[in-house]
Amino acid sequence: MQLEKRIEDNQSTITMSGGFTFSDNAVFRDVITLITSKASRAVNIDVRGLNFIDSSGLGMLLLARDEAKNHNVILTLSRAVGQVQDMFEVAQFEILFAIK
Amino acid sequence: MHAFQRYCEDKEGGKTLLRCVYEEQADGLRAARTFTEDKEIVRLLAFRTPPTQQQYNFLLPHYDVFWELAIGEDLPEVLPPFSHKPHRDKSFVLSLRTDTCHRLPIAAMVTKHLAQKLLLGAIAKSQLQTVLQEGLTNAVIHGNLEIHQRFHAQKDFFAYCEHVASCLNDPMLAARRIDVFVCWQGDALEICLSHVGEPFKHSIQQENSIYQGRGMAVMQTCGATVQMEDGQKDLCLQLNLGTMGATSVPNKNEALYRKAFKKALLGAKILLVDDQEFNIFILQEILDLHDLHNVIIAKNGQEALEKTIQEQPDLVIIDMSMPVMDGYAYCTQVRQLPIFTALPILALTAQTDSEQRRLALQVGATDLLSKPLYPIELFERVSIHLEKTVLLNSLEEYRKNVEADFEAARDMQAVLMPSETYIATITTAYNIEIGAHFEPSYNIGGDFWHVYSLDQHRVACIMIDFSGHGVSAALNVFRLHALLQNLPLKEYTAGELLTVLNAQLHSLLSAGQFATAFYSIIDTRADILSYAVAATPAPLLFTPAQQRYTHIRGSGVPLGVDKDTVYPTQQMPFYKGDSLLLYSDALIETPNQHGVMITPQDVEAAFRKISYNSIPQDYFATLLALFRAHAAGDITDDLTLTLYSRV
Repeated sequence: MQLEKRIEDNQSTITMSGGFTFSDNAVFRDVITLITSKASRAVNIDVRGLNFIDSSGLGMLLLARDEAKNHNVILTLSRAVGQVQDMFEVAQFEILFAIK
Repeated sequence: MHAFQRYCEDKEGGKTLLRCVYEEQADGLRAARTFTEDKEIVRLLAFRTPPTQQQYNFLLPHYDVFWELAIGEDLPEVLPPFSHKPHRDKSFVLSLRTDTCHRLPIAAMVTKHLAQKLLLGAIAKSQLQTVLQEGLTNAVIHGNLEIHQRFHAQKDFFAYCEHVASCLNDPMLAARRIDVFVCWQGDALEICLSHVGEPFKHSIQQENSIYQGRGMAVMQTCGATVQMEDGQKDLCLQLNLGTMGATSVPNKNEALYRKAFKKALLGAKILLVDDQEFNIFILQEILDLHDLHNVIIAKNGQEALEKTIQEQPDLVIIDMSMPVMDGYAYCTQVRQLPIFTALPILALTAQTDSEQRRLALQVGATDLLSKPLYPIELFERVSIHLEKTVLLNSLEEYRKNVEADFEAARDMQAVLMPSETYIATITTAYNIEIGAHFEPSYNIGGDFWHVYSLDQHRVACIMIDFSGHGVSAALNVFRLHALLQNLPLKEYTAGELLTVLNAQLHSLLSAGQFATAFYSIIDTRADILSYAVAATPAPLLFTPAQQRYTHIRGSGVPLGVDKDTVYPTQQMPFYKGDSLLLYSDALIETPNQHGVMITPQDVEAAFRKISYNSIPQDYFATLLALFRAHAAGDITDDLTLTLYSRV
């Protein structure tokens, strides 16, 4: 998985691409750090470039959701495609996350 | 030494049992030997590099590829092109180091390879990759690295990740192996992931954390049947490609069923009908040989008919040509009796007489047995037809049990909702007419409505719709009912009640379950309707006298999703003559045959057509008629309509 960050005061954007599985945990830790540091009020995770996600990936996104809530950061996801969209549907992410 | 065995389909479509044995050599090389039932067919050293053409040709009939992937080696490049060799695409074996399996996107690579070979569509491909990914992660972490599931504690997710990383740094653990075996027949793929570490211990109680145990559910959602047995090192997956969301019958039932069948088979009552004593003797001998001793004998059709009615046999074997009454007459008469329409009748006919055979089937024989008799054939036929009877009986019994259970559940659920007498007391006490209609899509449903008397001038109305329908949704209705019983309703405002209810439901509902709700309090003294909303379809408030219709905004977070959500209380005037319509989403989300759905505006339009001085019952009847005319067939979601009118 490749991860790009654009950090701004009001709205940071994280762009993820490739496959997001358990072995990407070290890369994703950056996202958690960004949220807990409260560097910006809102964080959008752009998952449109992701072509695959597994249950660990879903778990890490939920972890980000909890941290955002604990630190009063607004977390949004962009709409997913393909297998990632299917997995979001199975896990009912449209209810758990604000999806742009 | 490590061994496994699997069936492999050969070129002619038959099955060959292959047994593979690996031996670790002193210098780190591995020997792999493959046997069929009687001879060794492949023997080679495990490869650090792709096999030579010659070695490869030797492997051709059974495996695509079998070697150890070198560090940093990319799978698609080393896999040879298979498309032009169609006869080899029946199985696939891969042996990987633990660290390779963790580091490289193996699931994606294998999927790409298999997709090319099997010409898989996009959905099947994503299904396969998802299932493989979950399976491999499981084999790496819980299999080879032997990391206990308890490490999945919610707050320690990254500590858990670090633990995985440190285990992978252990050269002994990192060099363990995971063997991937894939073989397929038709639309089904059998995938076996074999690890080296400790065997699975599956009896560990899962802790309540959302970060664990999701893998299995994901695999099953993708249509995989998963077998992970205690004390085994294999995770076996069966994937029916192209059936996203479908699940197969678990194999465990097979053994139970065999046992039940055997019992039924041995106790079966068999009626033998033949005028030739010698034939009877032979038939009885054959059945005796297979422990079928419960036999009745008749010498002609007439006698057989009497014994069939008296004894009610499970199966009949009858010679078609006999004096007094022949087999044809027997069949014709027996089939006219309703209780014997499914009785298996095996007709004994001469092999050569095709007209006789045709006629036997025409008069109702279930199957034909030809003379001379072959003992094996006789037993097999008897066994097949008895099995069919056992299956039909058990299916019928199962259906009856399920129906009886649902009947009981439906009665229990009906009791939760207000009775007509209860509604009448509310109407008398508060001058509020209530019309209600509850129609679950299955026998039981996930909708709930009720009306409570709070004090002398206030009444509370609630309407809740749990996600999903059927049993799980219905169980949530029971939970909700229990919760509401214990809450001091009169002390809460509408918003407070939903806020409290939401916090309690959040801890009860499992992930993915939620409920939409509308709770309102009608104050007949202040003429006020106060209410709180959780993502419900827009309730309709109308004042017939002025022909004014208000669609109350139905948004808000569903109950059970977020434990901290606070639901505000809102207010509207609600005078004598006004009505409030609450409905579940089935009303506006059930498409008609053209795929069109009813809108809240359609409801309003239907109401406008009725005379303004109509009684509340007229409005309710109009609404039901509108829905009935719209959705002619079965509805697929639970429908609840309630109408509260101040009179």
